[in-house]
Amino acid sequence: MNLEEIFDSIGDKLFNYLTIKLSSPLDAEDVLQEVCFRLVRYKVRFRFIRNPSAYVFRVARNEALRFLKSREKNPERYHSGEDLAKVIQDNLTGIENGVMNQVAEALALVPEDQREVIILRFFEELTLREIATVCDVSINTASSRFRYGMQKLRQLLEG
Amino acid sequence: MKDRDKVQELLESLSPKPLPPELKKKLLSTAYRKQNRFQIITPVLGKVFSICCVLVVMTFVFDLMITDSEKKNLTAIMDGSQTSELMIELDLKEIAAELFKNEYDKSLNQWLIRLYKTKKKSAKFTNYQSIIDILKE
Repeated sequence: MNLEEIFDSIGDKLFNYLTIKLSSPLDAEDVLQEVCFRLVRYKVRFRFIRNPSAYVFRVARNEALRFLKSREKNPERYHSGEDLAKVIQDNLTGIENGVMNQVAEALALVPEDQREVIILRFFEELTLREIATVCDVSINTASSRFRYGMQKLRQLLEG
Repeated sequence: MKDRDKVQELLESLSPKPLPPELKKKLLSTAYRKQNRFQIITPVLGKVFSICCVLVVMTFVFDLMITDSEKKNLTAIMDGSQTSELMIELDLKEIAAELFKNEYDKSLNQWLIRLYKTKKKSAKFTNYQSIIDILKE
């Protein structure tokens, strides 16, 4: 599998994940550019990777974390994070606006690590094992975060 | 939204919006351009470098083999174990004279040469001094 094929299959999901993680589509574009450059530079590794999707998401996550650290140190150099609920609503499709608004606001209130697992599970369609690889945690930890995140989300949506 | 399955169903019905195709192209082409700009070793240069490395390794290996062979030759010359047939014949003539107190006998000499070769094969000795000791047994 080469880089173009991978990008065709998961490019949308990558961008969506980064946009929600960074709360900014412009920052997500910058980070995705950096991810592409790294993947082009180390393309020989694809031959030895069993799960290229999880690998690419892991690279993207690491780049996003690096970006967030840098943004914390020099906030004036970067765009400020937009309203997360609005970003989530703008980047997802599939249900009517009223319900989407509710879901987006509820997701924005879920703790960040739990929200990340929910987004990767439902929107990026990764398995829990892949999510554990991406987030560099054990499967049990990923599973717990998913469970608690879903509980929190149900409480917020039941409201 | 009280039912747990409904929340999951709701989330499963959501999907990310597609990336604009021009953005995909732009991201990949910029990445490739940046990669080419920062490339120190071009593909052709890389191949030349690999071939040079292989040649250097081969040179070292052949050098070791030649040195080893030369060392063996020198050792042989120093202790006489690879002396030519003619020298063997001349030395054995002296040994025959010493052992048997006879005049030079060609058949005896040939017998001694055969004995020498047999003993050499069984690696009993490596120099001529031990020939005398073995023949005296």
